[in-house]
This record gives sequence, C-alpha cells and structure tokens, in this order.
Amino acid sequence: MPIAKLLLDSGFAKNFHPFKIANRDIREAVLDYIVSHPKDFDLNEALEEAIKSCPELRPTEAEQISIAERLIKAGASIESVPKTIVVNGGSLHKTHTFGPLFYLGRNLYEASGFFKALFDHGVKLKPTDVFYFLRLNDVSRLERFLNNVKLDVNAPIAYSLQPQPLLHYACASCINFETLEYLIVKVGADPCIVHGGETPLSILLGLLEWSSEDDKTSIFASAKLLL
Amino acid sequence: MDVTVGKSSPLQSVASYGSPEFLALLLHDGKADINGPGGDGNTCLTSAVMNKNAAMVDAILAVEGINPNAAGPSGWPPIVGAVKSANFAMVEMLLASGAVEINNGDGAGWTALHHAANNGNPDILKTLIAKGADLAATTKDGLTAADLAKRQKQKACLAALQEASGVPVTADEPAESASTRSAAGGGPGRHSGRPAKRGRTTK
Repeated sequence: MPIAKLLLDSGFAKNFHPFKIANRDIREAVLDYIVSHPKDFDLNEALEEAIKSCPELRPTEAEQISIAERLIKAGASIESVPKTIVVNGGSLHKTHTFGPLFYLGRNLYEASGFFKALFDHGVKLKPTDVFYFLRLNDVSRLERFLNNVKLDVNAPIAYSLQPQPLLHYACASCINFETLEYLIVKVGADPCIVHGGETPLSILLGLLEWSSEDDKTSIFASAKLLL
Repeated sequence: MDVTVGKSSPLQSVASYGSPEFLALLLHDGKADINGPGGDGNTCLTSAVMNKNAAMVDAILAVEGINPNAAGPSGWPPIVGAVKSANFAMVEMLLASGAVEINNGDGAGWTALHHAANNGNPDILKTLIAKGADLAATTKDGLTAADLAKRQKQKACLAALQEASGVPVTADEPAESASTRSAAGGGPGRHSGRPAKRGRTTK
C-alpha cells in the first residue's frame, strides 16, 4: 500500500493510471487503493483505462475479469455515457458516446475478460453493439448476443459513418471462418448482397493487398465459403 | 455470385495480389467473365499486369476464352497498362503470348508506343517498335509517339523513333504533327495520357 499511495500522491498512478504499470504487484496495489477510495477516483475512467491498457500489458483473461469485477463493485458504470470531447485543438467540441463497450470495441482481441465481465453484469446492448461481438471471433458469444438482440443481419447497420450489412463488416474485419460460416449458415446473412457497390467477397479479397501468406490461407477458406 | 462487382472486383483483387489458386476458385463454376472490366474499368489481366503479378498474368493468359486485348470503356488494354507501369518484363510476357494487338489504344487513343514515348521508356519503346508498333499512329489529339517524345524531351525515345522511321525530327521543330497542324490550324493542348474517362485506378 505505501507504494500505491506514493504513486498516487506523486500523480503518476492517477495521471497515467495503474493499468499502465507493467509490474503486476504494483498494479494490484494501486487498484486496491483505488477501489478502497472510490470517491477519490473516476471509476468509469479507471475501467476504460484498464481496457485500453490491454494491447500493451496483455493481462490474462482472469486478471481482466478480476479488475472489472472489482471496479464495477466499487461503482464503475458498465453503460456507455455521452462525453464531450475537444478536437482540432479546441476549435470543435463533439459529443460521442464512450464507455467500456466503446473501448472494448477497439481492444477486443486482447480484452475478452473485460468483455465477459461486462456481459455477465448485464450491460445493456444495442443492435449496433453486434460489431463488438462480431470482432471477438467467438461464435458462442456472438450467438448469445444475437439471441438477446433483434437484428436484421442483411440490413445496413449504422456502426460508423457508412452503415453496412453485417457480412460486409465481417469481411472487412478479418473475421474468422467459423464466424462467417455461422453468420451465413445459421443466421441467414446473404453472401450475394451488394451494398455500396461491394459484395462481401469483393471486400474480403480487397484485403489480399495487405495480407501475409497465413492471412491469404484464411482469406481463401472464407472466399470459398462466400462463393 | 458476380465476381466482377466491387470497386476493386474480386477478379481484379485476385489478379493484382492473389495467386492462381484464387483465380481457379473464382472461375470454378465457369460463369465469371474473365474479360469483363472491374470497378475501375480495367480487366483482371490489366490489373495483374499493372501490379506486376507475373504468376497471375501467366494464369490469366492460360484461361480459356481470355482476350489479351480486352479493355473496359474507361480502362487500359493490358499492353498499355504494362507500358504505363513501366514494366519491361510484363510487356515481354504479353508480347510473348502472341495474341496482343500492339496498336490498340486507350480511350484517348494513346497506344503503348505513345505511353512509352511520353514516359521515356526507350527499352520498352524499342521492343514495341521491333514488334511492329505503328509509328504513325496518332492519339485523338492527333499526336504521334514522336510528337510526345519531343514534347516531353525524351531524347532517347525520340532518337529511337527517328531511327525507326527514317524521318528525322529536328530539335527546334514544333512538337505537333504535320497532320494536326494542317487539320486544326494550331497545336492541341497538353494531354494527360489518360483515357477520356476514368474511375479509380488500379494500383
């Protein structure tokens, strides 16, 4: 605890967040301090920062679940909240919806433990959250989502500036064969649908330009499925 | 599944960055038009050539029904694409196929020889001449390859063209061809060397 207190008092842990501390014991100590002093910290931000640290620190899934559980128990919100951000050096203020799911959407490959914890805590899901689940490359979790949220998989879904059908998004995001197969065979995603002048296949094969040989092998398998 | 749909169609992507196995997959049901233009107007052969994918050029040239001269209305014939991307090996590959119409032009009437002269590729230009490229062919603006070489100050190309034609063009002679001067009463404007109308270009 003295180390945690020292780090927090110095501003280091507070400004840079405990989840950027590489030493797990110190990280744990700081987290202990934060959850035992919830009024002194923005727990929502702490949860977001914990998720954001995943690509760098790569905590195990168990550790992620533990961090999320402790922060949520201390009062961190699992829901997305609108936040006004300043962009272009202050010339523009924009309100975006941030929250754990938003950050999970960016770090899903490494943050499955956080995702699981949020899901288990009953985070409220919207149809557009399907993209987060899709990117998990985990059929069982995607299935769990689709069983809970009504969604027309062949209609354009507003995720980014350009809404697109789920299969188009999946093909642009290197979604694995099993997930594509599940979407087509079980969910009824139409591989022939044309949206924005593109088919899922044209999007998938457009990835060849930047693909390694291993990637090409999986693109080939997926292309076969789409045909 | 239509494999020609897409800003870069599946056939074009595979031609540019894929392998023959991908091509076989797309052609497996015999329905795909190997000569059809993709989203940018180019055929898959032009895409393969311009992206220097030799394995795919070989594979596409071996497909039954391939037309090595096909070009969409806003695309380049493969031989023009090869010259535009300044790839001597691709030019040779196409010419070795024996079926290339060397004097086919793009939408602006620019032949492979025009592009070689304009861009200053003397090796390619000499190969084209040796294979029978028409030295007198004119673009829609009425320019010959020699006019373009002169305008762009491509001395090596100009010399090769002069030698091949046996009609010397002096350094201080205007770039426009005689036919253009007499028909239009003045010189045409500069030309970009691009087809009249283009979509997204193949990389």
